[in-house]
Amino acid sequence: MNYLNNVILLKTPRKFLRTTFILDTGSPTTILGYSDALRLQIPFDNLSKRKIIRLGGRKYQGYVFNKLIFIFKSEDNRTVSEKFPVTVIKPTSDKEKEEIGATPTIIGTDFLKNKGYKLFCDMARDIAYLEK
Amino acid sequence: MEQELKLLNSSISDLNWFKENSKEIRKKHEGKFVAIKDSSIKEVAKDVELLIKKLDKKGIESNFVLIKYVTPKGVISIL
Repeated sequence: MNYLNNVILLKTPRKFLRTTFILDTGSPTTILGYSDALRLQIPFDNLSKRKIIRLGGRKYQGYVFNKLIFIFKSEDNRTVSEKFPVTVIKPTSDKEKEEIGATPTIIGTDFLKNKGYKLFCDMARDIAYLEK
Repeated sequence: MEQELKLLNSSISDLNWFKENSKEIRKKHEGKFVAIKDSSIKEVAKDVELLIKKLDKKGIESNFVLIKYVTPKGVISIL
């Protein structure tokens, strides 16, 4: 399995979905991918503005969504749930939709710090995992 | 919790299937979004909104599929 892609369940009070994520130690912020936000029916109009996010060389307005739960599978075949606020990007044009549509959900360093995870990464052996 | 574990395990199977068949999938669907479930592609579209609509038409809940973008050959994404 590709160590930088993995599967999770994402849950809100109304919906859940199966998806993959990228762990990006270069991102200080955890970002919910636009396609995941669509499928979760995130209420963009009710969200408060957060910081401007620069992604792929472009700037986007970020919004905060506080009600997301990440569900992972652990090594001992159990589920691990973590509730964490995420930044959601709302595209304002078809061009922006096209550009961020393929960007997956990104787990950033804020998640690792706040939840107390350590990242182990051995690229030569194709291994990477989080541990508490 | 059991249901969640089942979903995660099936997601891992689908993701592995996608990677094992990536060459063939890229030949047919390069630059598009594919919806995968039970180790097969259920629907294809050029953007996610259209993909969700197509899945709805087929009576497939988009929450239960794995959606992946098929990166064109020779392209690397750097965030």
